Amino acid sequence: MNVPAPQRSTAAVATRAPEYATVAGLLALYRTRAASPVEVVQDLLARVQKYESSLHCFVTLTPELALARARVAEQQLMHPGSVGALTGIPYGLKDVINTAGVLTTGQSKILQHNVPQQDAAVEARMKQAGGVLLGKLTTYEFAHGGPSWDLPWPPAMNPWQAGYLPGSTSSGPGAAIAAGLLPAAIGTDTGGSIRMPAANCGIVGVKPTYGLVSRRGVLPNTFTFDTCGPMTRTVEDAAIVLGAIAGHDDEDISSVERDAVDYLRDLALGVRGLRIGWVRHWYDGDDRCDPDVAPVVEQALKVLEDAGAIVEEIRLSDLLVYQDCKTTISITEMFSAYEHEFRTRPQDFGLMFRNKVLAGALIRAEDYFQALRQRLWLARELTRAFKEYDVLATAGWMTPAELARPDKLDKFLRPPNITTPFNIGGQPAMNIPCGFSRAGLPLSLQLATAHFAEPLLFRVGHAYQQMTDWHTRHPTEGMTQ
Amino acid sequence: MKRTFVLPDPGPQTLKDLPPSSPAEIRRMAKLAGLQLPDEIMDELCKSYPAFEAMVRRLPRARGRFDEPAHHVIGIERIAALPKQER
Repeated sequence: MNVPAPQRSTAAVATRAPEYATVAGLLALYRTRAASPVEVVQDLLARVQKYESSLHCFVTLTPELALARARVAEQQLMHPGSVGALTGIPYGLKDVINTAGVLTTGQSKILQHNVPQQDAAVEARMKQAGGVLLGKLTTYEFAHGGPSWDLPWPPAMNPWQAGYLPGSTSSGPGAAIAAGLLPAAIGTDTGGSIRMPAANCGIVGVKPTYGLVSRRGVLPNTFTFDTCGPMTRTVEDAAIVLGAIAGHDDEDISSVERDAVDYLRDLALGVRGLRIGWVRHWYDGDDRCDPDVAPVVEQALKVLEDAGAIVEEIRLSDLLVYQDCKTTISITEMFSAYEHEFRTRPQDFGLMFRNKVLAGALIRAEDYFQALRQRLWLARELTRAFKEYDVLATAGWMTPAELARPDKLDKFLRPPNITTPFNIGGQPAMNIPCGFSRAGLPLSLQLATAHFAEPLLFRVGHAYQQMTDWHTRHPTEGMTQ
Repeated sequence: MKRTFVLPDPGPQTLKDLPPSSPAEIRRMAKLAGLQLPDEIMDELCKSYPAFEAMVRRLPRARGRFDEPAHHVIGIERIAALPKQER
């Protein structure tokens, strides 16, 4: 490979500051009593107060609940037998995930005052693992329409540069983790909504295999694509969090029955001998792709190749083919999920959500079924590729973070998402930071593996992070108070 | 040479050569779908729908008869095992 030197951000500051402690790091500090969950939560809450007015990461902050849970965690840590996988670890939930007794709005006027009686399955698991909920995080309306400036809550902003968006619907989680307000969060990914903000915020975002994490109690976007997954700063942390939330749920019809897996088990195995299929044509040469993306992704693959992986360029169907299929399915299912409100109070949705979903009312049954048939066709294509390659790699996103433009709300369809194919196929996929644009905004590498091969995904991602330091860099320029 | 995994074209026939629906046609489709929208929101739909219509019309239409759709079958044993669900 002939690879240009990667861009280095002048804004990024490499730091080991406590606010950027990882999940694994906090767990180690707790074990030796070098840190206390209560103090960590207090520090993070103070930091949220400092930056929230400019970043808008939270729809609802839950300080009393967090401190109460932190005190319980502190007690549990005194008795090692009662310690869970995430005891004392602060986290946030995208505000489409139901929380018993805590406002869950879907960032929509439709549910502005909605207080669920039951936790979503994923929140129940985070709680059971000992996690400490700091609050509900900003999203786009029902994890789809946005960014919106006509809702009761402003969109989250990117801490890397003032005036820029964190990207897609798990935007609050992305911004909060990048800004050092949280070490971990749970997002949802229907077409890339975990991975895009991970890319634009310089963090790790994992969309697990469809059906691995329960969707019960998560406000639906698209039933047949929706997944919940971890957003963290490191691959190791993502593996820890996925271990806490994965597992069968009888009450989610899509939930799969699998034996429990230790997602950390293969982290140290390295990449020597692994076959990586490089899907370069999805971004390189596309005029919608930022020119800074291709060289940075190529450099990232060079790092893996130098470590012993075998990288070969492959070809799959064009992104537009995947996107047409996915969007036809999505707007049909999403309209059906919110049909009653569209018929009775359409004015209460934000303009962006209406613009992106109302057309679902006019999709014919045969259109939806042709899209479902196309989906199986494309899923077969991906399955064939994963029979020959351990990992597929491509860009994490086509562009760095975009400038917020409240005056520009007439984009009905975005350019094809480079993340969507793995929602079509249902495979696990992960974005990890791999460099910066010339303007100092994070860029990302996307890795995907065969269904249920999350340990392999983490193995490759972790190996990459052991050889690079992009994930240790943190924003300064967008961190205004 | 690049290894390709693109499956053979499932059928070239699409609906993409059809003329785009006019605003009047979109209003009629919305009415047939039972939507009673304020004028302003109907105007929004007339503006947004053509992009989605073009997308749907690019889908292949001449598949083999035995090409199954994804996700339309859930094993009956999973359905039978479902607990009672509250609304």
